[in-house]
Parts: sequence; C-alpha cells; structure tokens
Amino acid sequence: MFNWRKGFAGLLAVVMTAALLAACGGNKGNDAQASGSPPPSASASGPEKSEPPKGDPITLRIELFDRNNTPAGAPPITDNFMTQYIQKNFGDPNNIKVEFVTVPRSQEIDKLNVLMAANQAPDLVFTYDTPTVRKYVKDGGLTDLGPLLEQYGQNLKKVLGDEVLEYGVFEGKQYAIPARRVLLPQTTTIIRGDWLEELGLPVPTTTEQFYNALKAFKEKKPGNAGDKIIPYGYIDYFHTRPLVYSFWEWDKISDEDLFANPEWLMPGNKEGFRFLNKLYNEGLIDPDFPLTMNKDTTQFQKDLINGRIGAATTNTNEPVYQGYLAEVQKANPNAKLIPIDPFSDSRGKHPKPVYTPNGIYLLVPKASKNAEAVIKYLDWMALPENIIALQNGIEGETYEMVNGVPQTLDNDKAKQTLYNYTDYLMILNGKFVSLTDEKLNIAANASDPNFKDFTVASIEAGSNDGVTKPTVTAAIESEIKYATTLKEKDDEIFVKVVTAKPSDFDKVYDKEVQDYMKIGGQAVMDEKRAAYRAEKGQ
Amino acid sequence: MKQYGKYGNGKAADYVIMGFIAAASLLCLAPMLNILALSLSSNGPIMAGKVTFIPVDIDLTAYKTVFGNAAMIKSLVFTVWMVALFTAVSMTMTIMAAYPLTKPNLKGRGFFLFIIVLTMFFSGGIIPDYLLMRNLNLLDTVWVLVLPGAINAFYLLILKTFFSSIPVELEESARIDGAGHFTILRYLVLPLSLPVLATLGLFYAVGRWNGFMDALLYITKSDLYPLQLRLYEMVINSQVIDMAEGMNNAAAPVPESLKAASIMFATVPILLVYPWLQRYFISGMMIGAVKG
Amino acid sequence: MKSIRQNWQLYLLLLFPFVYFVLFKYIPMLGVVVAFKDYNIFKGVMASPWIGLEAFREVFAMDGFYNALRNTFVLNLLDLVIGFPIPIVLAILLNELRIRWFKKSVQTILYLPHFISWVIIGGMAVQLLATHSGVVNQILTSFGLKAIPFLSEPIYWIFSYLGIGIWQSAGWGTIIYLAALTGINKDLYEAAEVDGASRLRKMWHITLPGIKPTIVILLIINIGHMASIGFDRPYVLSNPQVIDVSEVISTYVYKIGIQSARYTIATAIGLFQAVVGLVFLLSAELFSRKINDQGIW
Repeated sequence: MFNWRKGFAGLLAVVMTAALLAACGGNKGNDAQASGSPPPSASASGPEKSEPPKGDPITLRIELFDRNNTPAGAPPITDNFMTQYIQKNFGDPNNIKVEFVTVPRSQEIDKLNVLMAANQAPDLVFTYDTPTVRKYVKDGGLTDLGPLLEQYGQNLKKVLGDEVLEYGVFEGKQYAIPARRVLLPQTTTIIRGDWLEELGLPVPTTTEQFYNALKAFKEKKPGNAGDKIIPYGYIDYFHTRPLVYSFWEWDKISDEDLFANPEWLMPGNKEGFRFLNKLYNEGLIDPDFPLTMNKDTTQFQKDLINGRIGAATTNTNEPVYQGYLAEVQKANPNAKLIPIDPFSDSRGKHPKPVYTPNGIYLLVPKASKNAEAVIKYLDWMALPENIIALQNGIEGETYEMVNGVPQTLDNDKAKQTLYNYTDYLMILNGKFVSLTDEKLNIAANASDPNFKDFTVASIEAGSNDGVTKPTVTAAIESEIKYATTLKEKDDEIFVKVVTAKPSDFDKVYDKEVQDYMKIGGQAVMDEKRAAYRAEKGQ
Repeated sequence: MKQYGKYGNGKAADYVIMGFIAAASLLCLAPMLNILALSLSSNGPIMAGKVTFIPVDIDLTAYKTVFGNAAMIKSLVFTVWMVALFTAVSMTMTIMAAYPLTKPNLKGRGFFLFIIVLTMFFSGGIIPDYLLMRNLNLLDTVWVLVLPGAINAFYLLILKTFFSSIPVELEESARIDGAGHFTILRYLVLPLSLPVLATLGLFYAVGRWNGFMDALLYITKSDLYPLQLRLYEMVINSQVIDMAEGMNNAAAPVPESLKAASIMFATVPILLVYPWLQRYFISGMMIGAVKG
Repeated sequence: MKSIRQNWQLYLLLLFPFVYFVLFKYIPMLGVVVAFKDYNIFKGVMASPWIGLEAFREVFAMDGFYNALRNTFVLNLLDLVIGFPIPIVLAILLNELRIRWFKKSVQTILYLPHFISWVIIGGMAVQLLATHSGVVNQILTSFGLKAIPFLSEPIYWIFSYLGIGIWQSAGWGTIIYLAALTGINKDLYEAAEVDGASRLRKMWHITLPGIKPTIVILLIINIGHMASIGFDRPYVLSNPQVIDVSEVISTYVYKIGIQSARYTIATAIGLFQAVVGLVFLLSAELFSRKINDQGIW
C-alpha cells in the first residue's frame, strides 16, 4: 500500500528544493552580471553616420514617470505624440527601438531600487534623490558617462553647460548627468494689490513697508475677511527664507561660512526670527501655522481664495501652475495678487536662496549594454528643434510662435499632448528656447497665457539677488548621517522660536540652537569646514 | 416570577442605546457625506470652502469624467474580478490550513502553528520579495496580486479558533456514521461557520480591494492596475512630491471634485459587500444540533 | 491505527498552505540577513559584505530611536487599554438592538471611516481640531469656553490620536465580534430570562463568555504587535509641536530611510521589532494558558 506519509515527505522535499533554487537563482544572476561590467557596445560605424547602422535594432529602454493623470481622450503615455516623435526622429534613423518603461511617480525611489536590485532597470533612469545616487556610486552600480559624453554628447554639453555637469561628478567621475534647471528662483512673495490701493499704501520694496502693510491689513481689515484675516500666510522654514535672509549681516559672512555654517548660527539669523516672533505675537501670522506646515497647501489656497490672506511667500509662480490664481480671480474679479520683492537687507539688496542649476539626475546602470545609445539619445534631445517639439508639440496645433517664443495654445489637443512633456524631455527642468537670452526663457515658461505678466514678474522677483551656497564635490558623511534628524530639528526650532513669548525669545533660541549643535549640527559644521578648506584652500 | 433588574431593562435602556449608537453613526457618516458633497459640487464653492455636507452648485462633470475614463472603468472591472479570485483562493487556502490545526492529536500541529505565527513577525523586505516574484515569473500577471497574500496568518488563527468552538460531539457522531475529514469539513464544519467565513471573506476582499503598494512595485502593465492604485496616484499628485520638481510638473492640478468623485467610485463598490453578506450572519445555526 | 489513516486527509489539506508559507514567506525571509550586511543591491544579499551587529549598534546609538520606541509602546498600550474594548462593547450593544432595519444600516455606517484614506482623515482632523481656526474650537469659543489644543500640545494630541483611531477602526472591529455573537446558543438567554436575569447580567454571564475565545485570540495578537505600529495615523496627524510624542518607529524609519545604509538599518530595526513582538506574543500566550486555558495553540 502506498505509504502516504513517506510520499508526502518526499513531495514536500521536492517542492522546497525547487522553491529554494528558484529564489536563489535570482541572486546568482545578479552576481554574475554585476561583477564584470560589459563595455558599451561599440557600434559598427563611427559616431558620424548618415544611414542607419545595419543589423538587428537595439532596444533602448527609458524610464517614464507615470503620474496617472492622463486627460480624457488622450492616448496612453507609452504611445502618443511624444513617443512617436522620438521613435521617428531618433529611433528609426539609428536603428533603435525606443521602449518606455513606466514607473509610478509616487514611489519612484523604491521602484528604482527594486529594479536595480533585480537587474531589470531600464537603460536610462532618473531620480532627484542625491543620497540614492551616492549610494549607487558607492556600490558600483552606475556607468561612468564621462568618456561617452565627450565622444557623442557635444550638443548635450552645450545645452547643459559645465556648471550643471559638475553636479553630476561623484568620486571624480561623471556618474550622473544632471538636467539643467532653467528657472532658478525658489520663492516669490505676493500681496493683495487691491488692498494696498484701498488703504493708500505703497507697494512694499523694503521690509519696513511690508511690515506696515501687514499691520494695516490687520487693523483696517480691507476686503471682507473680517476678523479672520491672516496678513501673512504660508509660514514654514523654507518659505520664510527670503525674510530671514534679509536680516543676515552679509558683510560678515565669508564663502566658507556660507557653506559650512548651519543657518541658525549665521550672524543676523536670530534677528530675523525675532522679527518673525514679533509678527506672530502681534497676530500677523496664522496662529495655527504649525499644524499645516509642510503639509498640503489646500487650506492656504482656500484662505487665499476666500480673501483672508494679505500676503504670502509661495513657490515661484505657484499660484499659476497650481491653478489657484485663476480661482482667486473667479471668486473676486477685483482681487489683485502681485508679486513683490520686499525683504531688504542693510545693503539695500534683497538676498534670497535660489536653486542650483542642476535638476534631476540622469543615470545609466552599469548593467546596461546601451550606454552609448543613451548618450546619443540625450544628445539628439539637446538639438533645438527637438527641444521645441518635445516641449511644445506641433506648431499651429498645440503652440504658436509669438516674438520668438513658443506659446502654448489653449485647446484640447495641447492639453492632451503636453500635459506630461516634462517626463519625456528629461534634460531640462523648465521650458528652454535660448542659450543666450534669459528673458526669452522666462517668457517661454509663462505656462498660462492668461497670467503671463504674473509669471514673468514672479520669476524676476524670485531671481533678484539670488544666493546659492557654495558646494564641494566630496561627500559630507555626517551631513548624510544626520540629515533627517537635523531637518526635523529645523522644523521644531522654527515652531518653538516663532511661537515663544517675546520675553522668552532669546532664551528659547539659544537653548534650541545649542541642542541642534549637540545632536549633530556641530559635527556637520566641522566636517564641512574641513572639506571646504581641503578643496578650496584657505 | 419575573423580576426586573434595576437598570438596563425595558424601553428606556433601548432608547439610550439607540441614541448613543445613532450619535456614533452620525460621526461616522459625516466625512462620507462631505466627500459625496464635494464630488457633486462645482469647483468654485469647493475652493472657497463653502461645501460641507450638502453639494453647492450641483455639477456632475466630475462623475462624467470618471465614468468616461476608460482606464478607470477597465480598472474597476479588473479589480472586481481580481478581488473575487483572490478571495476565493484565500478562503480556500485558509480553510484548508485551519481545519487540520484544530485537531489536538495531529502530529506536528504545534510546529505548524509556530511557523505560521512566525510569519506574522519576520519578513525579508521588499527586495527579497520582488526577486522571488521575478524568479517565479509572476511579475505583471494577476497571480502576483493573488498568491503572495493568499493566507493571512491572523485570519487563519481566527478561523482555527472558530472551528475549535464547534462541539466535539457533533464531529464524533459524524465520525461514527463513517464520515471522513473531507466530508466532515464540507457538510458539518463549514455550514456551521457561515458567519465567520463571511467575515473573513469580507476581510480578505476589503484588504485586497484597498491595497495597492504591491501592485505599485510588481505591476507595470496598466491593464493590471488595481483601482486604488490609480486613486492613490491621483490624490498624491496634488501634493508637491519634490520641491525640486516644482514648476516642472506641467499638468493642471486635479480638481477637488474629481478627486472626491474618484474616491466615491473606488470605495462604494466594496462598501456594498458587507450589507450583502449580512444574510450570512444568522444566529442559531447550532440550535437543536446538540439537544437530546 | 484508525487515526493515522484519517490523518492523511489532514496532511493533504495542509499541503498547499505549507508550500505557500515556505515559498512566499520563508524563502524571502532569508533576506532578513540584510540586517547583518552592508547591503549592496548590485551584488545581492549573499555577496554583500558581512558586518555582524554593527547596524544594531548604530541603531541603538541613535538618539531618536529610544524616543520612537518609547512612543510606540505608549501609544500601543493606550490603544490596547482604551481602544481594544470598544468594538466589543459596541458589538454587544448592536446585538441588543431590536429594530432590524436600524441595526443593519447602523452596522454598515459605523465602519465607513475604515474606508477613508488617512491622507484625507489628516486633512479633516486639522480642519476640525485646529487650535484657533478649527471648527470645534470655534464653537467652543463662541460659547465663551477656552479653546482646546487638540493637536498642538502633546497630552491633548495623544488623546486626539487615540480618539481618531477609535473612530476609524471601532466600527470595522465589531464585525468579527458580531460574527462570534451569532454562535451563542439562544437557549441560554431563554433560560436566563426565566431565572429573572437583567439585561446587564445576561451580557456579563452569557454574551461575554460566549465570545471569549475570539477576544482572547485578538488580545494575544494585539499584544504581540506592541513593538510595531502603523505608519499612516501617526504620520498624518503629527506636527513639529508634538514630535516628542508623535515620532514612532514607523515614522522614524521612514524619515531616516534617505540615508546611505537604508536597507540595512531598516531591516535591523524590523528584526528588532519582530523579536520583541514574538517575545510579547509568547508571553501573552503562556499567561493566557495559565489563566484561561485558552490561546493560540
């Protein structure tokens, strides 16, 4: 009689072995491929070619962010105007089949890690996250793109520029190609122009005028917000930088200080926060700001549309591209939001942080055999006609040229074609038309033709007297290690210091900053100073 | 003689209980009413914060957009049948595991229970999971959404507990009549366990319906996107994911009414499952079974 | 022996689940060894260099870790003591309802919050409970009462956290108890009625004991999960003013995730939580066996 017990035991053993082999097989495959990196395939012909190379087409896999926001009637993101244009104008002439691999935007780092670990990553991937890039470099997972860039990427180099490319150099090699950020301003302050008119106040160009305007808003309550008025909204660490920067004693700050010091220690920072503390205690700031800080801005938008907000420092042009400026106008046609540049320092300048010119990092995994094709692809993308096409679509149908600047048309075809152009044209962050004329570039980025003036003013105000901190190429280990702890402490100190009673302000500020230095701030500062001196000499 | 306790009997207690529960219900219903109202209002009043529980300026465009979105409809159909498949597989596997473990004299029972409990705590993380799915060629198939989560150890233990509470005498009398385990399971244990089976089936179904993190990692074919994944992307997109991206996100933000309508679209179907299952929550199945 | 021949059927039933556990749970579980390695995703788990307990030493040296651990325990304990009984009480009360349409519709309504995403709940919470502009406080101040800092002060925040958690999960939690209640023999109630027992006595002596096995097993498993905590609720409700009490292990790991040793640290912490959880569960099981002679095994 068949012995069931033994039979089952045997069956179990077989199943388990099979399963084990299945699981382990993966890692072995991993090891085999990651260790010896295949050199980029040298194509049969040289870089200058006019006919398509012979032979089987290479499949080039490119990552594509999927935001799941395809408008009704639009074709799928893997087969639309953009993909067809790329295939026709790059793929076909080079005997390359371009394939887009979709990755959901929201978990892109996790998905990227998983694809890299499984050796399934596309030939071209991207991420904004610097620590992830550093980790890939350290683990030996990226292709050095320097030599290929020299050979096949001259157009790309011209468009990006040396400064941008520097940000992609890790451990001495060009492991990443950063996209070029076209627009550098971070934040711009806006104010209710109609309220200023109503109260007979000038458009603020100094901090004092701005303060007076806030006080007047609170006392005279223009508009119909009544007691619910919030003179100055959108309060958090990032968006109060221009205000605080205007209190710094810039004459006392060297480049090394600017790089190495935590902002809490900069001369004048305390006074900036004393000013914020004053605003809070005089009721000029929303007392509930800690609850909505760094979370979504729906409440702020609602308050703005309801006419409760007098002024705010938002992301540059945010009211336009987030769509709420239109809502403000709809709710109240008399409301006038104007971009201003009020925070002035002792030198009469308006210093404010701006972005460094690098955008997303473009990476080629070491396991990819098509690094050369990737560079050729990016180089092709950098040609002016391709930039215009991929950013604006088809002339006459989705855009028209106005004074040398493409203007997006306000029709369905434009919406369906261009809603995610940024995910295809990865080498640029922002619309780009000219290597030389910045004004043209700014005009090109006035995304909504109805608010062109607002956009241009917003960008100009946000760029004025912009400051970027110096960088070094070496990795600051302690900065990476303490990054989150210190960022959290930043927010914590921000809230504590701004909401403190005026008599306690100095005590609270000093104690909190002391804590900050103790939990890692000191270590980071010391390492940064040392690195700066090592690299730039002293 | 009937004596009434001092408190708790009679109509008064009934009304107190009903009142308390009605209040709790309102508290639970309110947010849903809010979302429903948002889905039916036009954008202006929403942005102005005027919409609370009643729609203002009734506007059906949000629903028209959702129902006109082929991808959403396809996702709904796919999700429904995928969840049904998942629930069937899960319940089958869970029953198959729970029943034997109720037998105290089964050799290895303690060991099985231990390895099951262990899985509630220890796991390798997303990369080992992903590699396994890849090696088993499950990526981009419906099975990657069905198999890995087939048995929930927690539910398994609950089922085992319920199975154990069936009186032993019933089983023994069936055994005497010559029934084997399969028969007992099918004709005795399962019919007596309808409420808990309905409950666990509901739990599995709802869990699968609401889950999307696995699909995010394992699925690239948009045909196989669960509905909640699409919803998640839509809601998340309105938040600034990366400050660094800022102006670069060219798409118009998703209107609140559309988000609300999508939430209703993705939630109402699963809400209807429990009321439909309530018929299985019949008590008294065991009346008469042990008498005499 | 008869029993062995019958048992082959049981082993056959167990076969597929066993394969499932080995394949989908235990094979990937080998990846937990990442906690002891300097994980290089390109080299794979096996080939990454071994670092032993270094990751654990690093974790235990992190300031924030102990705070997060403490908060995790505190919040979980409060959830257990205050939140755990509520679905039970609710289920019993629902069971008492005599008007069928009311009973049926209320059951569905009560679990609606379970289906609302935490992102939305977070937004609603701020709108309702904000100290100055929140709806609740506006009503309070209009009656001349003082505003309550529901979300901006630590102790109040803990109560808000608990309350919102109960609101979100109690209705859903009643379902399993309602299923258990159907299994109680109706004859027992009739007998008690004849003996003149009040409603409360019936609940105490018949209803509660009737669902005791369910309560016990849910309790044991909940105790086993003391060292772990969901991510969404604390994350969505927290803000810098209450970070001292709101930072828990799940949010802490999320925040330090963007670090060079991401997987190793996260896995090490997860392993620590798993071991602690297992110890708790086994202790609860032993304790329950002693008192009740009931438990998982």
